[in-house]
Amino acid sequence: MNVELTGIRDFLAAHHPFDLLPPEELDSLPARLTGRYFRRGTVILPAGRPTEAVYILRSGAVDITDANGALADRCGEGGAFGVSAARDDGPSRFTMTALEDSLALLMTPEDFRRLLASYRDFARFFDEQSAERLQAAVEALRLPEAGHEVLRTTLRDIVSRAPVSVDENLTVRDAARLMTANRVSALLVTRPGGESGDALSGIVTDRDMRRLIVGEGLPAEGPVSSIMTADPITIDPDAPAVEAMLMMMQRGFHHLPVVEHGRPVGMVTSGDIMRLQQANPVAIVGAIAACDDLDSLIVARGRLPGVVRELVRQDASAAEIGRIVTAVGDAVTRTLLRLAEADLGPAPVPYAWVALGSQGRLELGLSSDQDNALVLPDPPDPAADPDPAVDEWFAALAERVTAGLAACGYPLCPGDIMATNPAWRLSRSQWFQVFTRWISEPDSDAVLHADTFFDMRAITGADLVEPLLDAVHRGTADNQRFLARLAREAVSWVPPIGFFRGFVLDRAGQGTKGLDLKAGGIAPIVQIARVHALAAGLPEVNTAARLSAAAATGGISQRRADDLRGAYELISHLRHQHHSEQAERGEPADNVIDPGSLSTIDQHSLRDAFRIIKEAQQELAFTYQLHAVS
Amino acid sequence: MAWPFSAEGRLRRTATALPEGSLRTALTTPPPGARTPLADLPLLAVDMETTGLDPRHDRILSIGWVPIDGVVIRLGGAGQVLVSGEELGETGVGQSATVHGLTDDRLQQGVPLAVALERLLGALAGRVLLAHHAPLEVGFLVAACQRLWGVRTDPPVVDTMRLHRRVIAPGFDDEPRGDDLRLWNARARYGLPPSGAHDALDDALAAAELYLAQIAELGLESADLRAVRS
Repeated sequence: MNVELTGIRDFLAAHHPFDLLPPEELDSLPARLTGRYFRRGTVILPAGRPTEAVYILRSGAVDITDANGALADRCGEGGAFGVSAARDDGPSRFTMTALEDSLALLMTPEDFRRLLASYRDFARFFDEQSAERLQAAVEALRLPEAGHEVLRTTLRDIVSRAPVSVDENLTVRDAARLMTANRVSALLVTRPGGESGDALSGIVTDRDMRRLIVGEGLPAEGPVSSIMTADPITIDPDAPAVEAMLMMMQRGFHHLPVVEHGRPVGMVTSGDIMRLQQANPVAIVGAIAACDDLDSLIVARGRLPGVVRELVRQDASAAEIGRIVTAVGDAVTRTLLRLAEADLGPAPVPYAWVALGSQGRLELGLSSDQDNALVLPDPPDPAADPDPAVDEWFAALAERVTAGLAACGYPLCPGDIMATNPAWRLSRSQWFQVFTRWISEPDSDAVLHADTFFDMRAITGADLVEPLLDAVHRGTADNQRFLARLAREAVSWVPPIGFFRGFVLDRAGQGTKGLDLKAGGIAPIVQIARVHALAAGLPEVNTAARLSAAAATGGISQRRADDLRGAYELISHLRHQHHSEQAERGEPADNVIDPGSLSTIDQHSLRDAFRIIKEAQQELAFTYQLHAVS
Repeated sequence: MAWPFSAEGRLRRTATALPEGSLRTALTTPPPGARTPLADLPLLAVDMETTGLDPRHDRILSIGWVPIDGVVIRLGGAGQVLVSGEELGETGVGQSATVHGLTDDRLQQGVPLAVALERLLGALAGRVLLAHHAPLEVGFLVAACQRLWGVRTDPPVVDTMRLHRRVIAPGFDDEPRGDDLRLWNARARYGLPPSGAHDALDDALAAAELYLAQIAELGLESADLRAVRS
């Protein structure tokens, strides 16, 4: 008998990964299931016992605890458990206990294994080696080729609203009213085109109105066709925006009808093209470099959130976005240095302005504070008293640049790690002494500063900085005590298990509403990568580059490096996306997201990322014998 | 299909007087004994869509059922059958369509009532009938068997509505409001998922799930049929 268990089928189809099954499988699956009900507190499957089924939770909640009784996962409506025991046909490693009264659908292990064998995407979801799944999620974020976003933009991408059009027999007066009502500066004029829709017959602009009606006195009651430009030049929606820009520039147009198969689909204006240019990262860096005062610099930097929004929209990778935001930050810094020097007169001695922290790592985000310092040359005579005039000049330089950065949207560093602080305005030898002290006496102060100072990159004066950093990296390599302190820091954050009903679920089974992407994801990966890089004495500062280089030297497995890079890319991408949405709403950027706003796919991917971080932390803890880590 | 009717059919007769066949087998299979533990009890959750509430005048339009073995719902044994509109006469489903959504056109694809009932009785053989407000389903079943074959049936019954009354109004003075007893409100108590359409199979499944929740809540897993029988 053909029985349609539509309720059960629709339930499965609404939940990942069952939604990945083809319709015919979803149709036949419900009849092969059974239903069971478990009271709150019931042990559904004890550890060590083979499972009779894969359980799909229809309502309620089930806790999955490991051999030590620690929460490993929590399953809600639509979640599945008993999966690995069913797949491996072996004993369950976990105990499943009903947290709430729960109704479950049971699938036989044989049936489940058949589905795994038949459907690759479905099987991948249950793959414990989550790297492949995470990699797929990261790749889904990425475009086949990076860069050239502006060049790749087509008119279809930028013409968002339906064209405002008018029948050619309407009066000029009515057409003018329509333009006012729709706030457009030009109308498409159409004639009825039968089945295929209206055909374009002309275009009329507010300029035509002024010139012909007001200027030459043509009657406003005449048909709009009397003042239109007939058979205008049009462009195809799939043409690159750059082509439209060229056509408009060459011919002096401000409006270009976009026509597909003879039917008007929109209008592109010179304003649209200009906005596109505004979102061009190359253009903004150029504009910043050309600024001659702070006010224009603030305006030019103000375009950055729009650029980030556009890059996110075009699915640029988080690494690319980080580079671009950093390039803008570097350009702002250089311009401020140039403006300050123009005011203060030439520098008394050559110097290096260095970026620290995220700017140093080429990972600046829209919400990042500024971290910077000055590296000065050693005085010719170390015994002589320092020249107060020299320090005064650099103090003034630092004051102007940091204040300028703040005015441009880079908040002052709350920890006062800025070139204005005399403690961070040192000669090369003094810097070396400071680094050496941190490395040889790794107290909490050193660990605190490691986060910032060991990610140093010269914005100007690279030749002063590089020998210093070389010496520092020789000092960190294989310095177990120092590295162990950094490692302890890197494992101090305990990743959550995942998400449950819109909350971040931690290992104690507690839920919190917000997920801090920086503290809970970005920071630990940055710290893990830093330990591996410094342990091998590598000069890289960028997190992804550090991981690749560490894998190349064998300090970390290639697999682990790839996993961490994937996790970092994913979390950074969500952060850029979050920032760009905040910018769109006119809110200040922060790093806290509401898990309820995440898609199921993102939630699953983040879960994988958390697990990858935890595994990398466990490895670090083992390497440096940090027994306190669970 | 020609059933062996006779003038004597009007007389009440037992199923054993029916000719050999699946119908007789279904009606003569003994039901589970009263001492059958609930953990082993075979039930069949049944729901009917009808033109009204009076088994003497109203007609069955569709029947849905799902077997339960002890505490396990067997979705694979689920069944649903649509009854063709022949018995409805000129009036058709009338206004009742607004409740069950079954139109005369859809019922054209159904089977005669006798065929529909034979399928239901086949599934019910050896099981206890489970329904939410069972007098309705039982009333229609008894009336139809009487009318079609002159057979009197008396299946053992478990009623989830009566069980629900026990859950929410354990005291003698408590009289629950009618709305509280409705299937979907009863399910909500256990956090069971809501469902949209009134569909005989969905409702039968809904009653089956409710039953599992109820015997768990009432702590009846180790009791026997006497504890729940209506």
